[in-house]
Amino acid sequence: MSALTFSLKQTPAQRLDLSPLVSQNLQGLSLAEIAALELQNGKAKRRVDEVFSISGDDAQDIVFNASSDKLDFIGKQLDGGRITVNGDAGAYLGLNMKNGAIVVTGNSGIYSGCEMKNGLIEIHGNAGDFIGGALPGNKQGMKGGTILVKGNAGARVGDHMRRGQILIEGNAGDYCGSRMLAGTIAVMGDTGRFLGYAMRRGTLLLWKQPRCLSGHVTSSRRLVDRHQFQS
Amino acid sequence: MLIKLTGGRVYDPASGIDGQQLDIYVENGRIVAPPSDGRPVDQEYDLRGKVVMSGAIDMHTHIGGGKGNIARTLLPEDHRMDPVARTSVTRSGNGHAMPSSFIAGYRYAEMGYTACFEPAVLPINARQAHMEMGDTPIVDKGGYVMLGSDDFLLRMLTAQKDQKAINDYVAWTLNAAKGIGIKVVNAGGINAFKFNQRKLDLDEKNSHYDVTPRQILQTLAKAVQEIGVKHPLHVHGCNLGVPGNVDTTLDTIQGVEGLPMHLTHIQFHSYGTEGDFKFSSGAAQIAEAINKNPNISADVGQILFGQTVTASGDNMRQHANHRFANPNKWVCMDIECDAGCGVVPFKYKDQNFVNALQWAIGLEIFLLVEDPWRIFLTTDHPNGAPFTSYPHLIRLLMDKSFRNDMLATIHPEAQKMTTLASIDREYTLNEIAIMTRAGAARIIGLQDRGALAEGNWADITVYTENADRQTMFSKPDYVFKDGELVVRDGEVVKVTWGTTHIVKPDYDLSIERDLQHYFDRYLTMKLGNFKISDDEITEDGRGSLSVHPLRGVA
Repeated sequence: MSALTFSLKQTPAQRLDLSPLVSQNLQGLSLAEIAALELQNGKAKRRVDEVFSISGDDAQDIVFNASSDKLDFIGKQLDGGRITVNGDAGAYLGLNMKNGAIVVTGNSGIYSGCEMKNGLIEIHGNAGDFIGGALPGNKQGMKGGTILVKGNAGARVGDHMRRGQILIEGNAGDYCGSRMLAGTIAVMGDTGRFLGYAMRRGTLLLWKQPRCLSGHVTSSRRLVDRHQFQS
Repeated sequence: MLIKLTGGRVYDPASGIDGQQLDIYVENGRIVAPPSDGRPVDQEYDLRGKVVMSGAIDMHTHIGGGKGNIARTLLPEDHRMDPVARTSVTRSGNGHAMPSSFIAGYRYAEMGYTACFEPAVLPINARQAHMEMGDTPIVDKGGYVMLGSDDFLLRMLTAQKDQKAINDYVAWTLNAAKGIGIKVVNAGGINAFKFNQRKLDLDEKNSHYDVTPRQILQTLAKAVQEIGVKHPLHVHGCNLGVPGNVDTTLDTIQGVEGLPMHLTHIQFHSYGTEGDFKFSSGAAQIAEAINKNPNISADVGQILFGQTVTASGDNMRQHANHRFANPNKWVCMDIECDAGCGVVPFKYKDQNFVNALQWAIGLEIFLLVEDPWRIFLTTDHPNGAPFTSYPHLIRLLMDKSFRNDMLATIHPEAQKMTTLASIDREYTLNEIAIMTRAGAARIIGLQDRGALAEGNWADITVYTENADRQTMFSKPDYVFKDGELVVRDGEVVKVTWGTTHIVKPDYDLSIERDLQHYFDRYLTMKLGNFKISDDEITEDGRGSLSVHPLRGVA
């Protein structure tokens, strides 16, 4: 068996919703059936084979080649199996993911690992804002699993995070760990302003001293004496 | 175009027609007499075996005004989880508890409703409310203008201005904000909240203005009566949701001293303090008081189980209830010198004792009030439940065995605290038509609506008779709005734009002298900008105004 491979024919002009292309949906389908599935592309619906050339047969091992940041909802509700994204991923990578693994060789957009329950997301490039966060209006973000970012992450890492772990090898943006309920965020590079803003519980592991701590860290013990950082 | 609706069973209580088989003719948007000249009919609908009523009227539903947008902003998940795709005639939208304005209009029409009245138009926000209702398609609309916690009125009361001056202010505000009635929310209580009072009983003084809710209600009820507005003072009473508030409500009924008064979402104001949980039904007392006092009408504000959001001007009570917010997020805010606003999401649960009893109390009131002309079918959308649950509510009222089956599933302690199981009454189709059509049109003071008499506007709903009343009322076969077919088989087939119903009572222009000073001194808006002109409603080419007559005026 070889990996079920979707090679993007051309970067779409409008955003493309890839949520149907997850292992549990494709298991047992023939290539022709997969080709006939419909994807939402901006206002239009397109067949999978209009957008991708398809090869391989192992639905538990999905590969997107020549991927672009226009490709949203990759691995949405993924429940086992592995997705490899060669290139960039768009918004909502691994939204509500339940199990399995997603690897992105490039960058990912906003809300990567949003409300994920379990599994592993590995981003070799940079990640956008709100990784491991909650959808707007929801009160709980990521509830389990691991997100690993080898590059930098945007603002609001782990917003409303409930459980699980996020490791950023590069820098994290402003409001890292904001409104966090529990879980662990580790940042090897720099952190921005308002670290741990409105954080209730949870752990922030930092390799470098933060420039400043948020004045709004509530009910979690202060990591360090604030005065130390006033310069 | 002459349209004939042939052979339907007609329920038109306003004309005294109770299920007779009749033909109805429609031309140029109105119901007309059968053509005497033998002119051919352009279009005929065979309605034999179907039930025909005029278009339903929701006399209390929060479909416009700032609180809706606050709820939408607060609850993106409510919209995310209920998307509606566009069709060739309708626009896309979303929202379950607080749908977007277009979807609200379509959904109302698809249930056979042709008019909706927004009960909390804050004068300072009236423009926004009218614009939002202006984006609500198909249905007619109108608003009750909210007074009673505004600083100007309270200042007048403190200064003991005479009733004439207050009448002028009330009439001026109705004209400026383009309303069809006057609403009071927690009379003076919203204002008292700003002076750190957290509750205000009927005879408790506002600590700053020294005015009691009883005074405010009496003064405004008198003003409404004297300026000739047909819709009685629309009262959201004190102590909403507080166990024991049944006494407050009974006092309020006595306190208005025979003047016309409409008590809104009365279910929330009918709670006693008996039983192990110190929460009991006051429905029997309330129903008895309504039965005895012909000056009183009420809508129920039934709760139905599920997720919704409560949006109210009563920030005093909403603030007290915020600890029940589900999901846990809420907004309370001040609306400059006018009133307040509180938005608290709620999830009513049948296994929660209080919620279960609230459900039973609402139904008890429906069934114990004898005169269907004075009790109205509402859920106080979205506060008790979204308006889309009306067909379910109608089935609860019309089908005793269904009601008792539902009753058997709620919290067991609540079942013991309600007399619902012993009430045999089942609403008839004629009574439903009174509550949702003829009675509603009468209490609002609508001319040429809510009846199928010749000369009336042709707002007509046609249902297929079905013993399952929920199915029957969910999906009308046809809905005509102003003589045009807008819904077929429960789906919108044509989008039209309803009119805005208003009244224009007279007032003495000299009231503007005092108002000018007040606006310049305290408000962010100038007096001239505060007043909404007719053009603002009509200039988009689809809105229109219908001015209704006052009492004692032909």
